[in-house]
Amino acid sequence: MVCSPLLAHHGTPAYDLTKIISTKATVTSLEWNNPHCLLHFDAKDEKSALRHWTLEMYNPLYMTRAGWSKDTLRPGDEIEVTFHPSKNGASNGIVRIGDSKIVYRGQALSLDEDAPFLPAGRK
Amino acid sequence: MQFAASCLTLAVFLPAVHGQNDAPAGKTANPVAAPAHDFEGVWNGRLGTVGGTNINKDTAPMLPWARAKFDYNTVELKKGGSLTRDPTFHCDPTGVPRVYATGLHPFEIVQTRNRIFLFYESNHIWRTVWMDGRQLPKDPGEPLWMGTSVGRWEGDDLVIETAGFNDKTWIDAAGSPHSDALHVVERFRRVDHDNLQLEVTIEDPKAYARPWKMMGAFKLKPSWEIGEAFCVAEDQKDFEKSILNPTRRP
Repeated sequence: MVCSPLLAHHGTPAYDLTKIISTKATVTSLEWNNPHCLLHFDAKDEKSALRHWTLEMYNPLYMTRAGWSKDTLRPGDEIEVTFHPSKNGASNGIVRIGDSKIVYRGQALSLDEDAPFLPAGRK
Repeated sequence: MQFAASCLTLAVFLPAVHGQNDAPAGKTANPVAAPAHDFEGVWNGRLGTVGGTNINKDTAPMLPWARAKFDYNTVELKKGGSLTRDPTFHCDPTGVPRVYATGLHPFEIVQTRNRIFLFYESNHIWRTVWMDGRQLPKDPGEPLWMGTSVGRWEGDDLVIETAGFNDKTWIDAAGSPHSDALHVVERFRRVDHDNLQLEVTIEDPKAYARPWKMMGAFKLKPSWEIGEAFCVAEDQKDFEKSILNPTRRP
């Protein structure tokens, strides 16, 4: 039984939790910020045009417990990311435990503070 | 939300297993019995649901004054936007019981001879619970964000009563309001070594027709330490700029 901490502290009414986007992406930055870490990346849309996205993540303490540091992802890193987009079509989304995923060098980077991943070979 | 709610229900109402492993009567045998009157440690879990969509209007019996305030509090939520009317968004202290539900953060219980300290990672808030037999003051004095707390052991339960609040905080992330007559009873029960349950009773005769309850469940995290998670106005502004503003435009 997984008890999912589903929501950000301000709620998720702005996100479409019924919709999932999965895409290859190039990290432009990981912002290690309060109240939420932000993941910025570029990804090609269905017409192969480059689109810049900003995803909301958990707060830094939660991310640390899940195994992350501010250097886990760096500009230029190639990832596969699965997330919920905003309802209004803005280039924003959210990753959360359960139905979101960030894969780097073949490894899923945990979003579960009870099941941290091991750092992927660099600090 | 249903998923989270059902999870909590399961956690809270797991039946006690009697007669196994020589566990004392009334305690769960699995996995390890709880030490008596010792709730120290870092606990992680949730009270009710976290976030802005758990509207309480069906369970919380609001009087007209509270209903009007609730409607004001939740205008943005009804429009599908984020809750900048939420006092905690602007870094106001959380109040009680919302201190257990402002984010995905653990809290720590520290017990001394005549006091219990509650340290909440979220917003870096701490509370003193007086365990020396005193009663809540009859004259609450200047209203407080986190109120004044006294506690006692009832059997194996820790019961904390808190009053003397201001009326500026929300009871939950759904926007449920309260008045300065709010009286909160927290009943902690350590169901086994690793599990703490919390039953919160909200009594506020100016805001609610009758008392109502929220339930929470927490797990012991022996390897965790409380970190620093202050609410900082500048951080909130940055977050509003990068996430809230773009996602709430129609």
